[in-house]
Amino acid sequence: METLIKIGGWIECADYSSPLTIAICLPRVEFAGLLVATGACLHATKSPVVADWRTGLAELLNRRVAYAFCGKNPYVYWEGVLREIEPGEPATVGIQGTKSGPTDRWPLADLASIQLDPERDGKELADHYHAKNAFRDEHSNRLRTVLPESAVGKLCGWWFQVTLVGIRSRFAEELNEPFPWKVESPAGCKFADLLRPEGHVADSVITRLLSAKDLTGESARGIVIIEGSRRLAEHLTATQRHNRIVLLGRNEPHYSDCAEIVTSHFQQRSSDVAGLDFECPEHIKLKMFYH
Amino acid sequence: MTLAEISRAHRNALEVARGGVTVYQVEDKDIQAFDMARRDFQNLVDKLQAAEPLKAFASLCSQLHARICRTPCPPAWLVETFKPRILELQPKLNPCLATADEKIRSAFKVVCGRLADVQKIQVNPLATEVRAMLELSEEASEKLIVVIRQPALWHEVGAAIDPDAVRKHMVIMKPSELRRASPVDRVLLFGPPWLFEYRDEHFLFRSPVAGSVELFVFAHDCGGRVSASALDVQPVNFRGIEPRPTAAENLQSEPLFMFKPRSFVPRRLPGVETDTVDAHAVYIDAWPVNLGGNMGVYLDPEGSVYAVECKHAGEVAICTDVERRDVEELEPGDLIVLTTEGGGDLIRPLADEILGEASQVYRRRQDDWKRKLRERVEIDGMAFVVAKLQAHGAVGANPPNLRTWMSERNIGPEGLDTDFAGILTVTGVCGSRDEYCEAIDSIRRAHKKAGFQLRDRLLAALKGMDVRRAFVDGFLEVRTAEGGPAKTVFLVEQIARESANVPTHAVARVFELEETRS
Repeated sequence: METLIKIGGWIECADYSSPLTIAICLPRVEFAGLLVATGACLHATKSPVVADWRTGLAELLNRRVAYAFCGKNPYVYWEGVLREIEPGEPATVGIQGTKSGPTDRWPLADLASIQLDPERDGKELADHYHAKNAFRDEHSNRLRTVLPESAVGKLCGWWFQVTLVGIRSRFAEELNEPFPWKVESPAGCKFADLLRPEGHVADSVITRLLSAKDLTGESARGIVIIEGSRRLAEHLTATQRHNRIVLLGRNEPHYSDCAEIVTSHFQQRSSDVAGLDFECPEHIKLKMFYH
Repeated sequence: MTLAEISRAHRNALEVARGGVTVYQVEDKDIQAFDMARRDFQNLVDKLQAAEPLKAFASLCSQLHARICRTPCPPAWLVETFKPRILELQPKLNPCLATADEKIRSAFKVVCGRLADVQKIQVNPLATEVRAMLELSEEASEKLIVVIRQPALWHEVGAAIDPDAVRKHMVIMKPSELRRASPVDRVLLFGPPWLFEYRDEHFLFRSPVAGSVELFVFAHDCGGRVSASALDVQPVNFRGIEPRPTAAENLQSEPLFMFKPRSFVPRRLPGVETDTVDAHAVYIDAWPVNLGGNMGVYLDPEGSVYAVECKHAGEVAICTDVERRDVEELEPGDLIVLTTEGGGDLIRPLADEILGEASQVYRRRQDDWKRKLRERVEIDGMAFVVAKLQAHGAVGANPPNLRTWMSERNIGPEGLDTDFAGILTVTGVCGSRDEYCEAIDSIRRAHKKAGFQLRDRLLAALKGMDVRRAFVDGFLEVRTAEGGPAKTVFLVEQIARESANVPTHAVARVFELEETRS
């Protein structure tokens, strides 16, 4: 499933002057659109890629750290050790204080910043090629939450938009699901919090949800993610100017027809795409082309 | 589905993509001999253009062989199920045989002899192989789906595979139910790969519900390939057999008529008493939809229907929601709710109930101006009436809107002060304009209220209910606490690609279809 997030991130940085199509053939389309959109969104906001975050967290466990609390003097640091509060649950990693700080355990969500103690872990820092400040900036927010509200706020008025085309009622249910790759946050984090569809927030809408019959050249915004349907041929015609992702579910009755339409467009492509810079698992097939 | 279930579906697909499908091949010399004999007979019947009863017998043998080789049911039992059809054919066969070519008579004798041998087989080798495989599996608690197309065979399949009913989580399902089923541990399929290709059931391999997919097949019946994806040519890896195209001549002796798309011939179109076109009716392009239970319906592609959302868990499918879904978004395998008596519309009867005694008056007024408008169009022509309406302030008047306004399925124009005022002027009902406006407004509000109430009533009746019967039988009757017209949950079996031009009063009205696929 992480592959879909990576594809979203990849297409987000594609050049709009040469629009391209990525057709993704996968076992089911449920959540695929949201994951692709999330990948694009995370990339647009320059947040760390989710998979890397999890790896980075595992490497930092049991390190001595200095930390500061949210809402308090940001220059007062306490000492502690980064530990898993609940073994096996990365969402509940926190700080166990030492003699110079509180002895309670603090969830990461309560902390403004964390840094390795440079005096004690200087050797590790050098090996990791991270200066003290760079570590703090790169890891504090990453460890705190996938997409902190402060970063989300920066999206107000941002140009980044994505259009999801498919069954709106199903999208609404999926948007309500918790986003699985996050540190526990008091506010919780659902797909809707990341993708900010219309109606979820008063402003800074990122995601437009359209049913198959509502997609036109005028209604599409930004990256267009289309679930294959009987109208796929019309959709592809309407979104010629957009970078788009077509999701083909192999369990869907119209799958073969949609694959045929995609293949037909592929044969009329303007040029080939070099390819992704990451591997796709065997059960996900792609067809990519500049259209 | 939850994200966790979809993640599991992806893992299952990856497992099958990497590990392939495990194939278990069996054989039985008597069944193989029957197959050869019935093919020879079929070829002679086709080549020598034999009489219809002989072709029918060849077809029966073809179907019987398919059942034997593609289900684990005991051959002896299967032959017994075919006996009534063979006996019914017997009186017509004998005269044909008497005048048939000697080769056909000889081949017929051979087929009957082989059939008698098959009739003695009490245990299907496929069942033996399945039981042996399951005994080796230590996971008695694993969730297992056995895929069998005909519900009439399910009881016998269960007895053949799990005679002691040890497997508590074994479920038998139709292929179409697996398109959106929740993931399980193992799925068992029967039949050669080409069969799944022909039946458009590749999704069983391409989008597997289990990480372990097992295929049981007779060696003499095996063949064909399935592509893993429609975007490339790589085939599904059937471990244990070589992928090879199925020869066209092999398919000629298969009961392929079973795989053809369903026909759509209404036995009698509701509301249409004769075959002549009703000059006053408004016609629209509607989609013919085949429903379960050999029923059909025309649906307006611009409209919506009530669809049942359900969660599949083993042998049950629990209704979780009833929602209004665009007809545009319907797919085969969906469940929709339609009324099966009286009008085709679920909302209208309830709206009339809400309007109470005033409904008759309001409906009469509505019918009145619509009828007069249709008469105007019939006399003066569409273009003239549109121009006249525009001249009288109907800013929205154009041919498509005019057709919509004349339709029974439309309450009336939105612009009561503009478009509707123009209509009343053109049709000559200016004197009671307020009454007609009141009728439209009241009906509109009642329909809106009915929509909310109906959804609540359907949800109350269906939520939490096991609607699996709708998938198996094709339909399920529903009773709401408040009564009203009978409602039925129908399985959408097929949606035609091409529209049919039908009168609006025939839309959403369920009717019986003329032909059935066996």
